[in-house]
Amino acid sequence: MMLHDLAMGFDVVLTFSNLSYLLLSVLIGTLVGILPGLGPAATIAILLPVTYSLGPTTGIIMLAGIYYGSQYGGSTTAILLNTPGENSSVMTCIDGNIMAKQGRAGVALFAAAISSFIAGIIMVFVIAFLGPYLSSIAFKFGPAEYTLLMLFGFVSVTLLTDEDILKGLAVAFLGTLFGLVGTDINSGIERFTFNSTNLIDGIKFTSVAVGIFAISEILKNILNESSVTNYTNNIKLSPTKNDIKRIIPSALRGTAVGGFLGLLPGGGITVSSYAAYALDKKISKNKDEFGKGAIEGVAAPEAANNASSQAGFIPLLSLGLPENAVTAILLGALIMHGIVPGPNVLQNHPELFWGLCASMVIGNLILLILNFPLVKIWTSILKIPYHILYPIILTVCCLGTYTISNNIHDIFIVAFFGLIGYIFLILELSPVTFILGFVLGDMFEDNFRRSLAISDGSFSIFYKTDVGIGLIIMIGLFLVLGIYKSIKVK
Amino acid sequence: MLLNKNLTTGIFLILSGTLFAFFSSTFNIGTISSMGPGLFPLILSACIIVIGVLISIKGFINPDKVTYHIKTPLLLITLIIVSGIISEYAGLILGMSCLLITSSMFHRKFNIKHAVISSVSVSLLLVIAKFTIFPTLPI
Repeated sequence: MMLHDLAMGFDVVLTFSNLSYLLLSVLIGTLVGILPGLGPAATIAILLPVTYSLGPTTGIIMLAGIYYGSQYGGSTTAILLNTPGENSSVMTCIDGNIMAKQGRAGVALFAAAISSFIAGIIMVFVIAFLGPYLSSIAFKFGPAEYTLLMLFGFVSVTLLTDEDILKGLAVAFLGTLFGLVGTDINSGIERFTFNSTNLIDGIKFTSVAVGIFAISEILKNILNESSVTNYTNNIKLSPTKNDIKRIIPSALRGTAVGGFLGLLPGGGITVSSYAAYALDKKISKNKDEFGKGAIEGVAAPEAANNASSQAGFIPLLSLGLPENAVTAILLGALIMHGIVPGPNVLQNHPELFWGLCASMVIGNLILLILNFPLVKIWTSILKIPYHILYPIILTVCCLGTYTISNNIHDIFIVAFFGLIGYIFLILELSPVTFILGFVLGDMFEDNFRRSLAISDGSFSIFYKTDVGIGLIIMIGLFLVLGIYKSIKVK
Repeated sequence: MLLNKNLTTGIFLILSGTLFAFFSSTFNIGTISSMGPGLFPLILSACIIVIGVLISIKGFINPDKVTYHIKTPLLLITLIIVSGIISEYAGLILGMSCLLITSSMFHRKFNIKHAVISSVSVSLLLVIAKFTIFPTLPI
């Protein structure tokens, strides 16, 4: 049954146009992963308008390709230049760059690519299995359960992104408030629009995403100039049998960690790569080599970050719950294409779900094969000094946002959220929680309102069903953990 | 320049919460079972204000200093706004070139030659884009 569906998925993907878009997107993703200061979140946000005309299936295939492609790219610079292109590549820097200095850059790159590939393929099958299962139980989720689920999402993201739980909740609520700007679905009244026609439909989340992620990242890099280190010239890919014997178990462990953590809201690529590295260090027979060029130190985090980036699609497609900035933006993209996220996606749009699964298999394959010859090109791009790169990135970002609706107002929004992003940066508040709240804003209110309307004002609706009770317990648990964590730090 | 992180965060939250609360109260609040457009934002704003107070108290007890800059961020933000205005009235090529060249001045390794080359390349890309994929670009 599942194989039949997957076959349909391959049918969808293996068309000339879909394949070319997939190829393009994984290449862009790798490039984005390599460039510091430009992350998948901002890129996906900018490329969203391009995908409008492509249709939802192709659009999501493209955007997903950028996401997991960026994980491959981040590891290349981490290994060769000790510069993590993405947060998730930080762990790869440790052993990867040391291996490069030892002249084993090729082996490290191979380990990263193969581990990411293994993780990617395994996760496709996990998605193919878990997705429909979750969709089937998602019908048990009524408005009360969805409200609790979103609340759980906020709490979980905060806990796992290492932030004070109170601050995280406040930022999530702030994001939600900004998400409410615009016309209220229920009453038709315009809220917080100050009679501006531009805000009637709400604030464009592309502008918010670009402002909060891209602009603040550029500001951070300008104000905090650090130098880029050495470059290894001879990249020979020659892993030994022993290397492969060590890579595979690490990759499998990394996949398990990443796949599991990736399901939880906030358990994103960064947390997964840290956890996988730590686990492998504890378990491995070669634990003394960690920090001095252990190949497991590259394999485990790389598998984990790829696994978790793909795992994030499961709750997105089956429950309509985004886990991190990227899936939140993808959720927005789905809504824009007219697809109501939730358990119905699988029923009403099976070609989207299975097409995405199939595209992940092919995408990972493309990345594995293409990245070997392309490594030289990527690293030469990196030789472009940052003072030339960042103005281009900045301009492309603003340009992209402007061209969405040729409206200068969008640039003002980008500027405003760039400022907010910078404030968050100084105060060490997380923009991810903010954007999660922003995307979920309307739905959060809608579900909350409906729950209370159904129960006629009684809050018992939240603990009537077992799903509801389960979620309340999880929220309580995570809150307690969060408070315990912030007290421990003091 | 140093700031007390928690106190500033708390004040920031209290201010934003109050702002949103003020505007939410101008809408119909309604009752719990039939929520008006103002009730939910009011609840959220109230939560934010409460958390803001708690964090400010934490800031008094446990001062944690962070550094910040004012000039550069504000300048960059203003630059983006100005370039946007220029793009609107004088076309994208001028606006984006202005953004590119002026934003590159923030780095100590600023080199006018590089900046001009970059801006010419981006402008070329824009022209190509106009004649291929984006015919409606206001160059």
